[in-house]
Amino acid sequence: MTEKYQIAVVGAGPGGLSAAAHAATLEVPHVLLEKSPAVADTIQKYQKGKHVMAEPGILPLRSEVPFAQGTREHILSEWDQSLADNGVNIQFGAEVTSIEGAKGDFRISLSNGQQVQAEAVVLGIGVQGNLRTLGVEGESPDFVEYQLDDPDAITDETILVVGAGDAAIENAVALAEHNRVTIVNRRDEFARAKDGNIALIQAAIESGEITCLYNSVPSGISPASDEPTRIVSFSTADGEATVAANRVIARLGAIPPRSLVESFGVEFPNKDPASLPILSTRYESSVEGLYVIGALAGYPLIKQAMNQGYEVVETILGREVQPADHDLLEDKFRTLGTNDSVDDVLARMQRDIPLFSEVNPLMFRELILDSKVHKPSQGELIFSKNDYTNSFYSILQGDVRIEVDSGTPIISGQGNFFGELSLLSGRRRSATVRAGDHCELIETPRKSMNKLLNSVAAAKKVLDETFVLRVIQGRFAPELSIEALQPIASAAKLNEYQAGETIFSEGDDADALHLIRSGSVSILKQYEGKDLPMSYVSAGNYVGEMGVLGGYKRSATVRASVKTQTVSIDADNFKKLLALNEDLRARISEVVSGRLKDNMSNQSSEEAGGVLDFLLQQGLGEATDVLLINKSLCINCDNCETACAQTHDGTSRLNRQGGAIFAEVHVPTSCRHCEDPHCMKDCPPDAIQRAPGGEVFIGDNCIGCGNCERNCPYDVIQMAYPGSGEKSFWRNLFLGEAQPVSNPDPVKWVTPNDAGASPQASAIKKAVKCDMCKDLSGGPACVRACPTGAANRLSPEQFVQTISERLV
Amino acid sequence: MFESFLIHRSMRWLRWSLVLMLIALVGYVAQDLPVPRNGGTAVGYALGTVAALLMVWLTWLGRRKRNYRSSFGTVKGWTSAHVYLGVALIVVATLHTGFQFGANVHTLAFVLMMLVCLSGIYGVWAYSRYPFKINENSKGKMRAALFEELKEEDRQIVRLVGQVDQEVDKVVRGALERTEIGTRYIDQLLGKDRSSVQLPDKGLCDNRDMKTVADYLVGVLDTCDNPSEAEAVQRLLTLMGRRARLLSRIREDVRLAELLRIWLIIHIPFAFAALAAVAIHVVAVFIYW
Ligand SMILES: Cc1cc2nc3c(=O)[nH]c(=O)nc-3n(C[C@H](O)[C@H](O)[C@H](O)COP(=O)(O)OP(=O)(O)OC[C@H]3O[C@@H](n4cnc5c(N)ncnc54)[C@H](O)[C@@H]3O)c2cc1C
Ligand code: HEM
Ligand code: SF4
Ligand code: SF4
Ligand code: SF4
Repeated sequence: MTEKYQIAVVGAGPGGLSAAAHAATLEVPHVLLEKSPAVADTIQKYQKGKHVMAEPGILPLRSEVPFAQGTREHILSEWDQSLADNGVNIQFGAEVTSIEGAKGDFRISLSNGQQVQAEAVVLGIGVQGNLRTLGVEGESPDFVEYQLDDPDAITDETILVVGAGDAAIENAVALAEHNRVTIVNRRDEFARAKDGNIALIQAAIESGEITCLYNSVPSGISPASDEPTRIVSFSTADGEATVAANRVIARLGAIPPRSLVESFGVEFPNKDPASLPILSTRYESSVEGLYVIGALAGYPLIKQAMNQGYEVVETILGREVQPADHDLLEDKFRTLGTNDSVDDVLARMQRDIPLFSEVNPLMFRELILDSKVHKPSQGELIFSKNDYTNSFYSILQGDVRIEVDSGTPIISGQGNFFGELSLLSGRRRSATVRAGDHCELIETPRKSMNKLLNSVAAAKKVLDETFVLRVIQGRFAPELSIEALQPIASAAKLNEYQAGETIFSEGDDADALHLIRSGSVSILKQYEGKDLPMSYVSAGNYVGEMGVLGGYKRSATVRASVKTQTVSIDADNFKKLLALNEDLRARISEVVSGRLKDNMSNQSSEEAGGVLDFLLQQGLGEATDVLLINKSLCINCDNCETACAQTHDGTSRLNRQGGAIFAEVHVPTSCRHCEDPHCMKDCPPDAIQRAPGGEVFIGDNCIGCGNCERNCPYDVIQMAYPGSGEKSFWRNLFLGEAQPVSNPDPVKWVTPNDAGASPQASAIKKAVKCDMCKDLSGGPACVRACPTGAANRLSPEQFVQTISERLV
Repeated sequence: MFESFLIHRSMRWLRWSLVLMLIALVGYVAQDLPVPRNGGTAVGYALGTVAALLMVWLTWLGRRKRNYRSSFGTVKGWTSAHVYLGVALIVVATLHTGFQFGANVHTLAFVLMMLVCLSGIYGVWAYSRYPFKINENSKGKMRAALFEELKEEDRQIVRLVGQVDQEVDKVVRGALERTEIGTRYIDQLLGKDRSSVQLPDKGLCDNRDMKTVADYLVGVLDTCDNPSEAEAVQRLLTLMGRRARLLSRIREDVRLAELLRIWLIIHIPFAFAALAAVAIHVVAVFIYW
């Protein structure tokens, strides 16, 4: 028998709980279906005792279920209590596998074979997805595990770890301390993991500590017997193989919920995994009567999910509800001095700015919520050339003056946008912009803009085209109008290269010029059979200029040093540009002859090439500023670290014991302030920001989720308790910094407060990293505290110059 | 871009130091006095005042170095000035004495000051020599990485001894445990290896450079008739050799790092002692005047 409800809520995360609780209070017949045995599986999986934050602070909570910042345990117990108090009808162990039917008559099937009927469905299943399983014959939970809580609890076993990502490697290495471990990789190399982890596993395999089966996929497991071990068989490149093991730990990642959601009929705008389902302003998906809320709808924080749970029930019941953010938007629009309603202003924005016209209104609302609205007075500075800011501006009214170099400023008016160059390339601003008459601007942060571009193909296309146009104009033909350049720009190509990919090779026919849009490239020359880097070219510049003059062979190899995008213009197309612009040929010829001379003088410096190669491997190709220590000047005094700790809540943001050394150049573990910071990518409260000076820093609204720590490829972010870290002056003067001596234990990166002080109950571990001392008047404390001049913070341009000065 | 404290700003402090020394010398030589030159003449007073002020300022480096928020110059600039003006102090103070020494507090103050200055000069020499040697010795690895490597090596050894005879297992594990990297400071300074090992019939033996345990393993290998065990022992031998080299590199790292900073043990306390002695010297001079 199937039961029928007015509302079925799928997923008992914060969003689902809130929706079900509201339905229960209103005495609407409802059911809450949760696949796991307890509420809020995502929160259950946070680390024990985690302090959960209630960001964004300014957003009010609108829900029957309580939520304020506190420990994970406290919040979960409050939620359990609230479920009971409100009389929510919840079913645990109820995993939804399909949803069919239409508004008024949905049929929901569960994995346990039951069916539920409902008039409307609220989908709040989050984005964690399902863990991938081995899916082989003989698999059972007492032998195959998908999680490893405490590696030290297992000793003296033969263990198979299946997988090649970070989790698999970390588990395998930790288990190998006390066990015999074989790691099973279905490919012939480890490529998906972080560099640090790849190095770790390769070293362990080389030393024989861990055995590795490459090109191998588990195909079956023998049934349990009296033996403690079972036989696992594999299909490998050379046929079948078997191993006897005590247990298998499979870390195969999670299947994102997207395909499941699509199977319900919900549409997405494109194939990009980052794109979000198409929703109305009231969270209704492309299936009428099926609503999507919470993380799955693109709202990454708990409070947002809970508010939407409440609102969506109101909507289903046909009541007019102002979203919880209404007052915030009203406040925001006050600067504009208009009497129009929030909805009217939003509609006007979408109408008057073509770029936003196709954006779905819900997403647009969110975008504006993240944005700032400005009404600058005439002549006011919006941003200066060479600032490192990367927000995006659209002009709602009036105009702005864009001052590129000394020429006449470009006037840009209503409906246009600017700031996309820095947004897309991560580079400094290429022009100064001032407000014109009656100017009204919308400033959108980079993260919100990227979210938009991932979902709205039309917007991305417009932006890409404009980028190519403006970059060609700025680089080659400032005198020419956009219209004149249009045909040339539309024939230009946008290319993307992975780190290490060759863009063109020495000796190739030179046929096109590449403008580097983001990332950077290294220029290499053959030297005794080896490719040695001679130089490095950053985004905003071009390479391969000989290509457009015709008749040349490539004189060097150009390779992407990090993930890089270029705009390429071929010779034929460039000829049109030359025809339009008299001086351009002379300018390009000059650059060509300059580079030819450079190549000559660089020829002899093999050592310089080696250092450059090393630095590029250290990720300096995407750095804007990096701490280098000259080992032949460093006296081990650690004053740099002490200075950093003392000026930053007692935790040093640089680790001098870490990092690699080549010749005498040491790159200690410290932030590189990347052009396109990986750490920013996945920060729920958007706490990582970039200051105008280029400093990437973490704001106070960090919720301590640890995403940035995982995303930074250079391991420079730590999770730490705030502390005072004050040291005794006299002690430090007479005893100095203790160096680890007779301690054969690995000398960990122990921070003063991590080592000793036990955390106070109220303290939460937050992400900390170098902020380049942007709040100190004199600049980087570490550099200023070094007594010998060993420590220095340099931009890539400076270090390339340093190297050539030293060695050429 | 990497400009050391010695060439900071094209050696501007060296130039000031030379000027100061020159003025002091000219002033000293140009005196036309009925008595032998000493600290009580007009020039003597002037030199004494400059020297005393210099000493106070030189000591202030210890404070400035720890004012991490200060943007009053950089510590590098301060060190540069400290070193060059410190050398000028030797000349200024020596001229101030007029070469009149005796067994009194005045000469004590001078001797203490000279000790500080001479240790400082050793320091500058150490700073320009040892960092280079340290980097050369550790082959591009920080100490933490060297210890990490040692731990890795030990892990492999422990794994291997699981496959050999109980007794060998015990000896080898014992050798790992009794490895000393320099528990006593003097051992660290000399890079002395006091490792030992407990052998079945010989008791506790010296195990410098893992030699004794290696000899023991060779003995085991000779009498071993189980091929798989022999192979394990052979690999143990290789690992022990690697471990010995790694240990000596760590010891050398510790030794060099200590030599790099040992002079501060004299420089800092004696700086304060000298300052105190100078204070007494000044008071004494004014009382007995
Ligand atoms: C480590 C970490 C720390 C975080 N810290 C914070 C913080 O401090 N503050 C904050 O505001 N946010 C934080 N977040 C984000 C926050 O957890 C999410 O935004 C929030 O959980 C999203 O809520 P949701 O209801 O959309 O989905 P979820 O919380 O993911 O809930 C989805 C629920 O649906 C269930 N489900 C899934 N599939 C099915 C199915 N097919 N059938 C039935 N049920 C199903 C799941 O078991 C789960 O219980 C953090 C996230 C992480 C990963
Ligand atoms: C009486 C004279 C001097 C006094 C009172 C004095 C005092 C000091 C003090 C207090 C420090 C601080 C140590 C620390 O904070 O770790 C110091 C450091 C130092 N001094 Fe002197 N000093 C004197 C002369 C000299 C001379 C003549 C030289 C060298 C030519 C010298 C070279 C140094 C050096 C190289 C340092 C180390 C800087 C550092 O590592 O931070 N000093 N001195
Ligand atoms: S934290 Fe890591 S990813 Fe972020 S800017 Fe610094 S180095 Fe780059
Ligand atoms: S620049 Fe400032 S925050 Fe960054 S490592 Fe140096 S002292 Fe620390
Ligand atoms: S402050 Fe300078 S000399 Fe001291 S440890 Fe740091 S880099 Fe080396």
